[in-house]
Amino acid sequence: MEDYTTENLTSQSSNPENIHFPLALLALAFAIFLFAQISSLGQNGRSMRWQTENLDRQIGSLVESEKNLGNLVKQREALVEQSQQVQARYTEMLTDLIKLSETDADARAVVEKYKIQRQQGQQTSPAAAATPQPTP
Amino acid sequence: MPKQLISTATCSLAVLLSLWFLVSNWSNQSLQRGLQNQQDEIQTHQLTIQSQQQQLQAQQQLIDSASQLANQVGPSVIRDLATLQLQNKNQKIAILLKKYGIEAKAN
Repeated sequence: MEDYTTENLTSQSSNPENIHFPLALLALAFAIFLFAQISSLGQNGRSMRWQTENLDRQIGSLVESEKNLGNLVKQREALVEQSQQVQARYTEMLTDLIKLSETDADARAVVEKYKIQRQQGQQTSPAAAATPQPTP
Repeated sequence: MPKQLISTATCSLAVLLSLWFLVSNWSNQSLQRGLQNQQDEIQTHQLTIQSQQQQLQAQQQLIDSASQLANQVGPSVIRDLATLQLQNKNQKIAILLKKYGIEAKAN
């Protein structure tokens, strides 16, 4: 009885036909695993394509904003230049007034009234040296 | 014979799916690189916009400061100087005002 069983088992495992079933099962399992992975990759791909479209729109919007801001900066350049000239002119006059206040009482009264003073660290450039404080 | 066919078919399916998996993986990696490039581009644009906004802010401050000087403080100072020059006949102030093209006249 025992001999028969051993012989039977040996004859079954040595049969090359029997290897096909486990091999097919293994390949099927691997195929299912790969299919799941591919499906997941497909979902990721779709998500990334959606993100790409959104980022494209965002880039378009940013380029538009950049262009608008550039135009605005250019448009203001003339006004800025004018403002600089006005400021320089007034600063020069107020600097002269501060100098005059050292010898003239009327000038000193005006300087004190408006609290006009030289700003620290700008003494080397007298044109920008004096700026008035807020009006009393 | 049918057992052999089944195992060959399933093995072939696994090989095909492996190739498909590789191609999908490459495609996703390429998409990911594209996303990274777009994000870099967005960051560059954002930095440029930030710089432009700072430039605009600086321009606005300059304009406001000059406007305040020209419309509020400046005229008041000149009016006071002219009044003092006329009241006290102060020649030094008259010279200062004249230097800047201002001449005070009594009404």
